[in-house]
Amino acid sequence: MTAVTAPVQIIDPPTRSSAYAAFTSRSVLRFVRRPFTIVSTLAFPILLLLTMLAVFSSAIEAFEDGPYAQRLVPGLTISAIMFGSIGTAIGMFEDLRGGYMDRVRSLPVAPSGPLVGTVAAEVVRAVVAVAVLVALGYVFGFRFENGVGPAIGYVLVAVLCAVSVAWIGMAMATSAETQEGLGPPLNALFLVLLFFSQGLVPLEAYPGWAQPIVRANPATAYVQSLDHLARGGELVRPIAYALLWSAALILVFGTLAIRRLARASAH
Amino acid sequence: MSSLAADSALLGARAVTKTSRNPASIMGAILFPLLFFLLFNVTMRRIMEAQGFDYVQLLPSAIVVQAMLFAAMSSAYYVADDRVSGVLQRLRSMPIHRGAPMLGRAVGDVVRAAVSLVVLLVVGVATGMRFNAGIAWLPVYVGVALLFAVGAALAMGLLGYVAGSPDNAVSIATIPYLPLLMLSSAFVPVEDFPGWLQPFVEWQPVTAVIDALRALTGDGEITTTVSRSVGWSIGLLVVCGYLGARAMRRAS
Repeated sequence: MTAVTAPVQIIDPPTRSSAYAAFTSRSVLRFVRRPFTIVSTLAFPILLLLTMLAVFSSAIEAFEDGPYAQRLVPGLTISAIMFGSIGTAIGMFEDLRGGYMDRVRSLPVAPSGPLVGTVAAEVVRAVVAVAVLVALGYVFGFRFENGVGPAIGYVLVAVLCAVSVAWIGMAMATSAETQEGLGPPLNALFLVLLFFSQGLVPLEAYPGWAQPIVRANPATAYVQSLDHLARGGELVRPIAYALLWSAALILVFGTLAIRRLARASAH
Repeated sequence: MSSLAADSALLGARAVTKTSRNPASIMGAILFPLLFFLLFNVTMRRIMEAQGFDYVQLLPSAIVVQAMLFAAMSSAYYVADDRVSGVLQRLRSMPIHRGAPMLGRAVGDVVRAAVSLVVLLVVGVATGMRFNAGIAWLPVYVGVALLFAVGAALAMGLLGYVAGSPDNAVSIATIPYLPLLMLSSAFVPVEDFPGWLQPFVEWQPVTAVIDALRALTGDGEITTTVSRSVGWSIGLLVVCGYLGARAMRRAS
């Protein structure tokens, strides 16, 4: 009789890139299965585009040249990116509270996995938002008047905005006590950023006291970059501001989120 | 013995307590209406005044109706909350009047709507809105607004019976909310809309209520606008109240 030795199977821990891919697909799947993200990234901006065009086209087109869609598509793209990131923040909050993050830490994968997956999924969300709003915008007179290069730049600025703005909600998710302490404050913040961004009306429509606020608003930097990439206009200044704001947002809120997460894992 | 009034009052007090202890509800009732009032003033006032649309006088009533819709959306949240957490089922097993849970919910919605209404009226009048038809119409103004809040809350509350969670109920509620508010006389005159949309804009309930409120502050004819608005609100109340009562029986 020969002894039967059971083969010992050693499962290698996943490589860093395959772990990142898995975390990303989890985050993307979550968008699809969470009505909030679908509503805030797709349904709401589409409804908003159609209704804003119906309501304000005649008043705004009496105020400035060009179809209102040319102004509104960049504005609502940034709006979809900002408001959609609230769903991402709530997902992160649930992961922290529900023990998912602790579970991940006990696995032989890169601890940065969930964060990388979340941010990578924001890229997907931004590209979807751009595609849907631009396609619908074309029906109502929105155009890329500068050709292919700036059109690609348009997508890149939207992605840049998405991967920077998401850190605001992610940082707040690491310190929020309840989910209600997360959604409404972010909503109020993004509403103010959107309305003061020139994404809905031109600068000249704002009262004098509001114009400096509009100019200094980070959302204005992204909206104006998109607007000028599509319609034409000065590019260096708005894009430089957008890059600077992104660097600042990632530095401040990224550091805050990562530090708080590391501290949470020390317990 | 169960009495409808006493049981509803008790459940109404519970609804008010729950709302007042939820920071999100307080923000929704006070901060968000004020924020929209400010933001519309900042972005649209110059553009609309260039068109001869008196924003100072006309915007507050639009935001009042928006706030009534917010109250209605929060009703969808609380209905779903009570269903998912089993409170509805628990109430069903208690010796209380069958109509009390729904009436109690409505009491909570009215109180919340009234808080928004008071805040907006104070800010509206402070920024220059006047009751040009006579201050005697103020109680009617309050009545028209709150009656609509109850009707809309019963309608939005229906979503609370079908949504998977309270948050989903609010997400779904934004889909009727946005077109009803935007495609109304709230922010621009009806003539500004494309021709094919104008019949909808003119005849839908939100326009009816806004036109009535504006008539009561001196911009428009009172009798027809108020009766149309009250008609819509009572219609919503009866139809959605009936559907809600049925949904509640099924849920529990």
